[in-house]
Amino acid sequence: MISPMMTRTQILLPPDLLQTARLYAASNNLSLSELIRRSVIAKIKPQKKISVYEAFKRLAIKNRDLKKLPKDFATNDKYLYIYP
Amino acid sequence: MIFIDSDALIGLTLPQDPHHAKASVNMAQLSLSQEELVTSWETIDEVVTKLSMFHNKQVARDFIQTILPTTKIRTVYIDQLLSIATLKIFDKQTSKNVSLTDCANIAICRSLGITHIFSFDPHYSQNGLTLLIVTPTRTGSP
Repeated sequence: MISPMMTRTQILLPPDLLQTARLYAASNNLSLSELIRRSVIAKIKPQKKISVYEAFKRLAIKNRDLKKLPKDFATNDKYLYIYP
Repeated sequence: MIFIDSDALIGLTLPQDPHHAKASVNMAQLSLSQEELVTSWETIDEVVTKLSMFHNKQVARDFIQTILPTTKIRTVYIDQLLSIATLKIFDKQTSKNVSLTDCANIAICRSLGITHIFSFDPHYSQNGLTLLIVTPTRTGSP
Protein backbone atom coordinates (compact mmCIF):
# COMPACT_ATOMS: atom_id res chain seq x y z
CA MET A 1 0.00 0.00 0.00
CA ILE A 2 1.29 3.46 -0.89
CA SER A 3 1.51 5.99 1.92
CA PRO A 4 -0.29 9.29 1.18
CA MET A 5 2.95 11.09 2.11
CA MET A 6 4.83 9.58 -0.83
CA THR A 7 5.12 10.81 -4.39
CA ARG A 8 5.15 8.44 -7.32
CA THR A 9 8.11 8.85 -9.65
CA GLN A 10 9.79 7.01 -12.47
CA ILE A 11 13.45 6.11 -12.75
CA LEU A 12 15.46 4.43 -15.46
CA LEU A 13 17.67 1.47 -14.53
CA PRO A 14 19.74 -0.81 -16.72
CA PRO A 15 18.06 -4.26 -16.95
CA ASP A 16 20.86 -6.12 -15.15
CA LEU A 17 20.84 -3.62 -12.26
CA LEU A 18 17.05 -3.86 -12.02
CA GLN A 19 17.24 -7.66 -11.91
CA THR A 20 19.92 -7.60 -9.22
CA ALA A 21 17.91 -5.06 -7.21
CA ARG A 22 14.74 -7.19 -7.45
CA LEU A 23 16.64 -10.28 -6.32
CA TYR A 24 18.24 -8.41 -3.43
CA ALA A 25 14.88 -6.95 -2.38
CA ALA A 26 13.14 -10.32 -2.55
CA SER A 27 15.84 -12.08 -0.58
CA ASN A 28 15.63 -9.38 2.13
CA ASN A 29 11.82 -9.27 2.29
CA LEU A 30 11.72 -5.75 0.90
CA SER A 31 9.74 -4.22 -1.89
CA LEU A 32 11.79 -2.75 -4.71
CA SER A 33 10.52 0.70 -3.66
CA GLU A 34 11.66 0.19 -0.09
CA LEU A 35 15.10 -0.95 -1.26
CA ILE A 36 15.46 2.15 -3.44
CA ARG A 37 14.22 4.42 -0.61
CA ARG A 38 16.73 2.95 1.81
CA SER A 39 19.54 3.23 -0.75
CA VAL A 40 18.74 6.88 -1.46
CA ILE A 41 18.51 7.72 2.25
CA ALA A 42 21.85 6.04 2.89
CA LYS A 43 23.44 8.03 0.09
CA ILE A 44 22.10 11.49 0.85
CA LYS A 45 21.29 11.33 4.55
CA PRO A 46 21.80 14.85 5.94
CA GLN A 47 24.74 15.29 8.27
CA LYS A 48 24.00 15.57 11.97
CA LYS A 49 23.71 19.26 12.83
CA ILE A 50 26.51 20.57 14.98
CA SER A 51 27.12 24.04 16.39
CA VAL A 52 29.24 26.55 14.49
CA TYR A 53 31.75 26.39 17.35
CA GLU A 54 32.00 22.61 17.06
CA ALA A 55 32.28 22.79 13.26
CA PHE A 56 35.19 25.24 13.42
CA LYS A 57 36.81 23.32 16.27
CA ARG A 58 36.88 20.24 14.03
CA LEU A 59 38.23 22.32 11.13
CA ALA A 60 41.00 23.76 13.34
CA ILE A 61 41.99 20.26 14.47
CA LYS A 62 42.19 19.20 10.83
CA ASN A 63 44.41 22.23 10.11
CA ARG A 64 46.74 21.84 13.12
CA ASP A 65 49.73 20.63 11.08
CA LEU A 66 49.69 23.42 8.50
CA LYS A 67 52.73 25.66 8.15
CA LYS A 68 53.34 28.63 10.41
CA LEU A 69 51.48 31.85 9.61
CA PRO A 70 52.68 35.44 9.53
CA LYS A 71 51.32 37.25 12.61
CA ASP A 72 49.22 39.56 10.47
CA PHE A 73 47.81 36.89 8.15
CA ALA A 74 44.20 37.32 9.27
CA THR A 75 44.21 41.12 9.26
CA ASN A 76 46.41 42.10 6.35
CA ASP A 77 44.83 42.20 2.89
CA LYS A 78 48.19 41.76 1.17
CA TYR A 79 47.86 37.99 1.63
CA LEU A 80 44.95 38.07 -0.81
CA TYR A 81 47.31 38.81 -3.64
CA ILE A 82 50.78 37.53 -2.85
CA TYR A 83 52.25 34.07 -2.74
CA PRO A 84 54.01 33.18 0.52
CA MET B 1 22.54 39.53 15.42
CA ILE B 2 26.35 39.50 15.03
CA PHE B 3 28.37 39.95 11.84
CA ILE B 4 31.48 37.76 11.43
CA ASP B 5 34.41 39.22 9.50
CA SER B 6 37.16 37.39 7.65
CA ASP B 7 39.83 37.83 10.34
CA ALA B 8 37.61 36.12 12.91
CA LEU B 9 36.85 33.30 10.48
CA ILE B 10 40.56 32.83 9.77
CA GLY B 11 41.27 32.88 13.50
CA LEU B 12 38.70 30.12 13.96
CA THR B 13 39.97 28.09 11.03
CA LEU B 14 43.72 28.14 11.63
CA PRO B 15 45.12 27.18 15.05
CA GLN B 16 48.43 28.82 14.01
CA ASP B 17 46.75 32.23 13.85
CA PRO B 18 47.44 34.51 16.84
CA HIS B 19 43.70 35.22 17.15
CA HIS B 20 42.75 31.54 17.35
CA ALA B 21 42.29 31.26 21.12
CA LYS B 22 40.30 34.49 21.45
CA ALA B 23 38.22 33.71 18.38
CA SER B 24 37.40 30.22 19.66
CA VAL B 25 36.35 31.48 23.09
CA ASN B 26 34.16 34.08 21.44
CA MET B 27 32.55 31.56 19.13
CA ALA B 28 31.90 29.21 22.04
CA GLN B 29 30.07 32.04 23.82
CA LEU B 30 28.15 32.97 20.68
CA SER B 31 27.07 29.37 20.15
CA LEU B 32 25.76 29.24 23.72
CA SER B 33 23.92 32.55 23.36
CA GLN B 34 22.07 31.36 20.23
CA GLU B 35 22.86 34.74 18.66
CA GLU B 36 22.10 34.87 14.95
CA LEU B 37 25.34 35.02 12.95
CA VAL B 38 25.71 36.80 9.63
CA THR B 39 28.52 37.10 7.13
CA SER B 40 28.84 38.24 3.52
CA TRP B 41 29.81 36.53 0.30
CA GLU B 42 32.68 39.05 0.05
CA THR B 43 33.98 37.91 3.44
CA ILE B 44 33.86 34.26 2.40
CA ASP B 45 35.64 35.24 -0.82
CA GLU B 46 38.47 36.87 1.17
CA VAL B 47 38.93 33.91 3.50
CA VAL B 48 38.85 31.34 0.69
CA THR B 49 41.31 33.35 -1.41
CA LYS B 50 43.76 33.79 1.47
CA LEU B 51 43.60 30.12 2.49
CA SER B 52 44.08 29.02 -1.09
CA MET B 53 46.94 31.44 -1.81
CA PHE B 54 48.85 30.78 1.41
CA HIS B 55 48.09 27.11 1.94
CA ASN B 56 46.28 25.23 -0.81
CA LYS B 57 42.93 24.57 -2.44
CA GLN B 58 42.05 21.74 -0.04
CA VAL B 59 42.34 24.01 3.02
CA ALA B 60 40.07 26.48 1.23
CA ARG B 61 37.61 23.72 0.30
CA ASP B 62 37.50 22.47 3.89
CA PHE B 63 36.59 25.99 5.01
CA ILE B 64 33.81 26.17 2.41
CA GLN B 65 32.52 22.78 3.51
CA THR B 66 32.42 24.06 7.09
CA ILE B 67 30.77 27.42 6.59
CA LEU B 68 28.35 27.04 3.69
CA PRO B 69 26.34 24.01 4.84
CA THR B 70 25.71 25.47 8.29
CA THR B 71 22.34 27.10 8.68
CA LYS B 72 23.62 28.93 11.73
CA ILE B 73 25.61 31.48 9.70
CA ARG B 74 23.56 33.47 7.20
CA THR B 75 25.43 34.60 4.09
CA VAL B 76 24.31 37.96 2.71
CA TYR B 77 24.78 38.68 -0.99
CA ILE B 78 25.25 42.26 -2.15
CA ASP B 79 22.52 43.56 -4.44
CA GLN B 80 22.43 46.84 -6.38
CA LEU B 81 21.05 48.89 -3.47
CA LEU B 82 23.66 47.54 -1.06
CA SER B 83 26.42 48.18 -3.59
CA ILE B 84 25.36 51.85 -3.84
CA ALA B 85 25.42 52.11 -0.03
CA THR B 86 28.83 50.39 -0.06
CA LEU B 87 30.28 52.93 -2.50
CA LYS B 88 28.95 55.83 -0.41
CA ILE B 89 30.65 54.39 2.68
CA PHE B 90 33.86 53.82 0.71
CA ASP B 91 33.79 57.47 -0.44
CA LYS B 92 33.74 58.68 3.16
CA GLN B 93 36.76 56.66 4.30
CA THR B 94 39.98 58.55 4.90
CA SER B 95 42.18 55.48 5.47
CA LYS B 96 43.45 53.69 2.37
CA ASN B 97 43.40 50.45 4.36
CA VAL B 98 39.61 50.25 4.44
CA SER B 99 38.72 47.90 1.61
CA LEU B 100 35.57 47.81 -0.48
CA THR B 101 34.79 44.51 1.22
CA ASP B 102 34.99 46.22 4.63
CA CYS B 103 32.58 48.88 3.32
CA ALA B 104 30.20 46.23 1.96
CA ASN B 105 30.19 44.57 5.39
CA ILE B 106 29.43 47.92 7.04
CA ALA B 107 26.59 48.51 4.55
CA ILE B 108 25.16 45.05 5.29
CA CYS B 109 25.34 45.68 9.04
CA ARG B 110 23.56 49.02 8.67
CA SER B 111 20.87 47.53 6.44
CA LEU B 112 20.15 44.74 8.93
CA GLY B 113 20.48 46.88 12.06
CA ILE B 114 23.55 44.97 13.23
CA THR B 115 25.55 46.87 15.85
CA HIS B 116 28.21 44.27 16.80
CA ILE B 117 30.87 42.70 14.65
CA PHE B 118 33.10 39.72 15.45
CA SER B 119 36.36 41.15 14.11
CA PHE B 120 39.79 42.37 15.15
CA ASP B 121 39.73 45.32 12.73
CA PRO B 122 39.42 48.72 14.47
CA HIS B 123 38.21 50.34 11.24
CA TYR B 124 34.77 48.92 11.97
CA SER B 125 34.55 50.71 15.30
CA GLN B 126 35.51 53.93 13.50
CA ASN B 127 32.40 53.31 11.37
CA GLY B 128 29.97 52.92 14.23
CA LEU B 129 30.16 49.19 14.85
CA THR B 130 31.16 47.65 18.16
CA LEU B 131 33.91 45.04 17.99
CA LEU B 132 33.09 41.86 19.81
CA ILE B 133 36.79 41.44 20.54
CA VAL B 134 38.89 44.51 21.18
CA THR B 135 42.60 44.23 20.48
CA PRO B 136 45.05 47.05 21.17
CA THR B 137 46.49 47.32 17.66
CA ARG B 138 45.84 46.09 14.15
CA THR B 139 49.08 44.69 12.83
CA GLY B 140 50.45 44.59 9.38
CA SER B 141 48.36 46.80 7.15
CA PRO B 142 50.70 49.01 5.18
